[in-house]
Amino acid sequence: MKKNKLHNINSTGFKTPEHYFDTFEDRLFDRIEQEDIIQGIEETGFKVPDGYFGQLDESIIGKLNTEEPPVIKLSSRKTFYYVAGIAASLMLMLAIYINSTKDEISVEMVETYFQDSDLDSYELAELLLDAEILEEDFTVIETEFDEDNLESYLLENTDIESILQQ
Amino acid sequence: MINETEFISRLQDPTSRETAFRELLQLYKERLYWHVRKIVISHDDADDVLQNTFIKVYRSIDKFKGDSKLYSWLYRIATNESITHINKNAKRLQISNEEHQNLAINNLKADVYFEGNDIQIKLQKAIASLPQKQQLVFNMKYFDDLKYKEIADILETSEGALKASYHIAVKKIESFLTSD
Repeated sequence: MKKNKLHNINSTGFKTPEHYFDTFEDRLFDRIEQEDIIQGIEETGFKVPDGYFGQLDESIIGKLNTEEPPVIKLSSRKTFYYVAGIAASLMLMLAIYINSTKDEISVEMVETYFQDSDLDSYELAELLLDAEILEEDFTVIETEFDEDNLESYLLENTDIESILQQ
Repeated sequence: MINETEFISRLQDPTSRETAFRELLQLYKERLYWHVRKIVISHDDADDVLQNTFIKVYRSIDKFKGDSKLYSWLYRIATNESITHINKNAKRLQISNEEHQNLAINNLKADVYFEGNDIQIKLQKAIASLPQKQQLVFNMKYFDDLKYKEIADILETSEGALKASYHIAVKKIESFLTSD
């Protein structure tokens, strides 16, 4: 393509803002003036307390020797997991407690109740009168003893508490 | 025609320095601007570099011993300031000088101070693909039409080496332009 030949390109295409060269000198001298002002300022004006640099080394070394307190991030993900775990545990315990109140009373709980209470045999007997006791509730054990003899033995034996404990 | 020795004396004399410096600006500001612009591509960068160049000249004119021509000293300062400017910008952007130049050329289409067409952008890309010294030689010879002797004084190299550099640069650019 003819246009793509180097000898056909005679300019770069670059241009400048309008009046750029007319104003260049003034802008340059303004900058030179500003730089001269800045170079004329030898001090910043900042001051330090008397003896500051004399004790600075000791102050820094002193801080190095004290233990740095651990940094605890308030919004860390780990903290979130801990809080979430505790909340979940509390909810689980509450759920178990609520569900457990609906459970029927176990045999072991009744036995423990009677063992720990101060009920004697008569009080127990009174409770039995109110209860509907069926023959099926008892286990009949076949023995070699005669029924009459057994009854008379039990009547003679006044220490029924020890029998109940057996 | 300015007597260069007398002109340098006026530049170095504090009583006549500012007047002489204004004359120097009149003589060289446009020439140096276009020299710098072709190296740094954007107008804003060229303006920065041109100001830095003249401030350096103003501050160090006392050290100029007249070992070389004044124009070659000015061009040398402008060239060095341009290269330093590119190096600094590339370092700040954490990219190579080549990447920096390609970035500058890619911005030309949106540059209000560029009125070239696609072919002229392609020419800039072709120049940017050359080693730095060949870029300088090509720009000074092809666009500024400086003599080999003048370019040799500015770049402090031999005319023979420059001629070879220029011919190699032209061949590479022609090849670049005719490729897709």
